Amino acid sequence: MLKTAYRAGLIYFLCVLISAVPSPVGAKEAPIAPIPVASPEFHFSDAALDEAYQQANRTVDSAYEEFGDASDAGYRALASARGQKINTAAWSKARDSVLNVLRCRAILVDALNGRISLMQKVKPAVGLTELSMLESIVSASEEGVNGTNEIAINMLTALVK
Amino acid sequence: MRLLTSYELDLVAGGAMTGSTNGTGGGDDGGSGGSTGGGSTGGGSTGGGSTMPPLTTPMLWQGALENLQQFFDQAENSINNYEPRQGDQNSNYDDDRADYGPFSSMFMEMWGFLPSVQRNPAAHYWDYLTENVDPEFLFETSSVSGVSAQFSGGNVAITSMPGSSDSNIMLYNVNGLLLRGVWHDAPPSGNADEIEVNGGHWTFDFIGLASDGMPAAPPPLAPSSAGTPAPDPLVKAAAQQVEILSKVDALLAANGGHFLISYKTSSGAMDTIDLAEFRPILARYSIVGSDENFGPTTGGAGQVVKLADGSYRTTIENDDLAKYSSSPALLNFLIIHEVSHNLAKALSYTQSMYDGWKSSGGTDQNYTGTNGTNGSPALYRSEAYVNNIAKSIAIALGLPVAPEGSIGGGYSYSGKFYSAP
Repeated sequence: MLKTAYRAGLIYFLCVLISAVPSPVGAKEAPIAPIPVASPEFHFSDAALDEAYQQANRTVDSAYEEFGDASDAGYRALASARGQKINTAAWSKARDSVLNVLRCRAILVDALNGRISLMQKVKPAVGLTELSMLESIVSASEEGVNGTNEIAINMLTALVK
Repeated sequence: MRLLTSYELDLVAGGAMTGSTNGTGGGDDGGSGGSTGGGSTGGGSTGGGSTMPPLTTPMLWQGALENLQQFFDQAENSINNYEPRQGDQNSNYDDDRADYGPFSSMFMEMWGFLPSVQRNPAAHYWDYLTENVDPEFLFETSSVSGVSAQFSGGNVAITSMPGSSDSNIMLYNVNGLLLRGVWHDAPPSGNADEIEVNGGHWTFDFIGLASDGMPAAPPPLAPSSAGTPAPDPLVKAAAQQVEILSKVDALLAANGGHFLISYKTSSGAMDTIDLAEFRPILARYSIVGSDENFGPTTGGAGQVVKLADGSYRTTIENDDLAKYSSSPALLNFLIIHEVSHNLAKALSYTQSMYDGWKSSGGTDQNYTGTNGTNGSPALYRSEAYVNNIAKSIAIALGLPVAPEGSIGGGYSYSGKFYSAP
């Protein structure tokens, strides 16, 4: 009797201990979701081209940061202006914020187009391996141009709704 | 000392700092020496007219410093005036009452006599908790190099900095805000953010949020002279996550709480996700670095899991995190991709790919490629599916998109490696 009770107590004890340990939910049933291995930082083999590319990247990153801050402020201003009539203080603030987004987008688009132009200019001179990367850089840049255009249109639409 | 960015301030202030540009703005008026301190009230959620919900414990940088000052003042006072109190459950002079603890009283009545139970710390719960506790201050030594305490401003836990053997650098968790404290065995120079203790002084800088997990290694120290050090990858990742969260919140707020984003599925057809589903996952997501080699176990650079407390955690090899943090586009990709894995449609798609793989004779090992071969088509499709979502979200948020060729592991935004499943 005592032995059985002891076992029950031991099981309870183990349950308390096990339940205290955090564990992934569903780790046994669900497939593993591995993280893609990061590629080494890309560099063109031509030093001068690579420096120009890195400079273009820095310009793009900086412009994206400014655009990001502006669009953040723009969306917040639009949120505050939801339901407000045109020419109210909140609406005017939203309009100014959206105009700032458009200004920042113009700078960003210039930076993205600059990177695209650079890639197109050097395209004939790069090898096959670098050509593939070059094309994906152009593609990502074009998506940036188009994507930020959609954001600007969305904001303008929200402003005049 | 690095001041919090406006995004970080907004996060830690629960939205109260929206529109403010520095860490000493008007949001800290509740934290000046009152009995509740600046960091323990919920005022941040109503301040500033923000429509954003509070995201974490309201805590301004200035409030954090005030809390730390309170902590040191009270620690010194407590230690100097130490008087044990008989019967105080927080005193180290407690009676040896073995029937107080997380084990139920019934259990202890039945089995408390057993040496095996007696040997368990939980059988002496209060004693175990309070053996080193100061009765007035609730100051507890948790290890040789760790202490925790409750004080009038909240809670503080101090441990050695992970990965650092320098005893002058400690990790402070002040009400959920992770600060690196550096001890200087010299009088303070008079800067407002120094805290004098016993003739020396501490300086602090912000390194992350406790909700994001403890840092795996100490961020590089700022040089004592002027200059901006390169941020630690984990700090960069945390800051980037805060930035993405801020953008998501702004976009949702401007669109009534919902925003549909379309993305291309593996079959080429378009589908949509609601950013409102993405947001809570992102808010409860964290990245931790690891020196473990995940290749043999996950076939990748780490793993994302949902934890029992409902949060999501990516554990990633430090080397890979450093590579991802080399550009904002790659860091965006990592964070959004990993969070997107936990969207209902992505989970469903991944599960269907996995189930199909297993039902056709595949194994866990060749699903992820941990047997030394490349990952399976089922895995690639799942990853490509999530890549497409991540790309669409990044574009919608106005974030830079990583060129497809810069994403390792053979994954592709377009899923072009494989035809429709």
